[in-house]
Amino acid sequence: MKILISNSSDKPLYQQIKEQIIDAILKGELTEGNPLPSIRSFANDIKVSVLTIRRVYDELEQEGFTTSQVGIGTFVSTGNVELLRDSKRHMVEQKMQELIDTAKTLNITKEELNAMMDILYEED
Amino acid sequence: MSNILEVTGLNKYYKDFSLTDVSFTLPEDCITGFIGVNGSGKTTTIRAILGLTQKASGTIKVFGKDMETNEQELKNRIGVVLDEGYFYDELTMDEMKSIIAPAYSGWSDKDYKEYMDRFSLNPRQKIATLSRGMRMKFALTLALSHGADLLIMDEPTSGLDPLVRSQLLEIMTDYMKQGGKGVFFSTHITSDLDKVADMLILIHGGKILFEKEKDYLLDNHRLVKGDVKALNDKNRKQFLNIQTTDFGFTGVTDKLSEVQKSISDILVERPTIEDIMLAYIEGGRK
Amino acid sequence: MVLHLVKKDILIAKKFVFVAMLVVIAVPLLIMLTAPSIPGFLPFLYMVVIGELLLLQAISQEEAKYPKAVALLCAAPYTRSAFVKAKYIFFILIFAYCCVVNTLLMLVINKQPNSLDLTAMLAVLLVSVIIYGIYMPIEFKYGLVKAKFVSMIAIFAFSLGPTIFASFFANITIDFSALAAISSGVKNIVLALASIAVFGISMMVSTKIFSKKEL
Repeated sequence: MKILISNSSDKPLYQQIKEQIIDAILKGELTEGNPLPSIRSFANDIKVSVLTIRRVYDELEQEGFTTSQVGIGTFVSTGNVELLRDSKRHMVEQKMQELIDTAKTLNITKEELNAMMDILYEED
Repeated sequence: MSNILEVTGLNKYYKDFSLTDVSFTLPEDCITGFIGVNGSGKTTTIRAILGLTQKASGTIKVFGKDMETNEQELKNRIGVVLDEGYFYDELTMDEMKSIIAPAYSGWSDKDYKEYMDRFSLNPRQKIATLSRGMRMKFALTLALSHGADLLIMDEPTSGLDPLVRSQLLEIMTDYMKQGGKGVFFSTHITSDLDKVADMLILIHGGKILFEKEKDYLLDNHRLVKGDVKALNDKNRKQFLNIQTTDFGFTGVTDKLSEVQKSISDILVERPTIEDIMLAYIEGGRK
Repeated sequence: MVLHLVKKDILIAKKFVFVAMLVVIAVPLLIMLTAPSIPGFLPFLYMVVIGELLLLQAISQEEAKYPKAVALLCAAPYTRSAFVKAKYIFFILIFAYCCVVNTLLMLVINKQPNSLDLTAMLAVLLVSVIIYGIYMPIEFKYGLVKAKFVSMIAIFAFSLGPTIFASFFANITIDFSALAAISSGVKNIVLALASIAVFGISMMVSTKIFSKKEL
């Protein structure tokens, strides 16, 4: 699993980490039923505070991506179809967000963006 | 998640300096950095926690128990590293150990020997002949050899070279891996905290200025650089502090979106802990 | 706990302790050999008072060189009262040592095993407890330098002792006969109780002072 944190991104650290874990789950890099690394070693390895990882794991569990068992660890949830559907939307949403961020830095307006989208969507 | 240390309403009055209403909590499994400039009250606070100096008012709870009524039991679980070592220099390390070890019921000679080996310290060497780094390592050895659940350290890294400092930080993270532990260390060298701290508590002039998760601070504050001419009375207030030169201004803010709206053409970067610390200290002076 | 702190005191001043132990043997020996007419309890008294004060000050001097060491020990589970008790137990140890040395010397030199009877020993105990009992709280409260001043006065007065004592003995025979009338048993009990009382009160005062001290 690849987790890269950007220091120059505007996104909070925990969000970057959370999204990359979700990515990994959806792409199958983290398979169902398999454990996530322990909070402490994970925090150590990517040089983030344990409190941040704890929040990531808590939110992942709340959103249904993982389940945790006290004393054993946190595991990727099994068999969640609803989740996968949402997850595919999520992947598109992520790409869209990237698109919008890039557009904003280049000062492209929403209307221009929509226009571009209309053209490209019809192309295939 | 329980709290390892709770300080509430700590007050202490000296002629030229006071601790005023110092309150903070240390959650379990966290390394907490206690930061502040020299003379800000870090050492006084630590001495008050350890009962080395009497407080005027306030409560101190360790592992949920009151320090005053359970002093011996709690001190048994606390490992202490005070800067400058605090030893009888004429003694050898083994002799010093023979004085300290019997005080702790959980003392382990095995751990002691392991740490002495790990740090390459010769137990029969006189303390007066040790370098500063070796004294700190010895102090750490004593603190870690009795099964302590809380490590309290006062400026453990000051005066040490980067290699020793990094070794100390590594030991701290190793210590935390055991689970159920806590580390509280005071320092004015903020680059060490960048690497290992989970929580940060800033003290200045005897008062706590903030008590926040390190990542929260780094996520929510930004270093903004721009043209001095763009500053006016209104948007200056959005910054915690601002420094200006002939070539531009640099300011730390926690209201980035507002700043982005009111000033165009800015450079935005993540601040370091030192930037944030100075921002709160200088900002408070206005 | 307390015993470890006593051990600590001996450890940090071990050279001086060794020297003091020798002096405690040598000086009374000298007095007994060169001036055997002096009543037996006087060398003993000197031995005890000076031995106690000098030894204690040697230890306090070492402590004063490294004042933060006490802080580290108090950050450990050593209680403040244990610190104080250790100093008082040390007093008892020195006194016991002096008694043993003195009895042995008496046996060897004068061959009079009873020339230092219990009453005299208790009297010396009381005197030394009073001096020590006043000295200790002063040192705890005001530190070594000021306390040394007090002890120097005491030692000075003591050194003049023989002259003063000699004139005392010459003039005050009446009082002694009254004293002699009291049975030695009662005297012993009174002396012992007084010693214990002064000892206890001094220890309590020292403990209170040290509990509030900034380390």
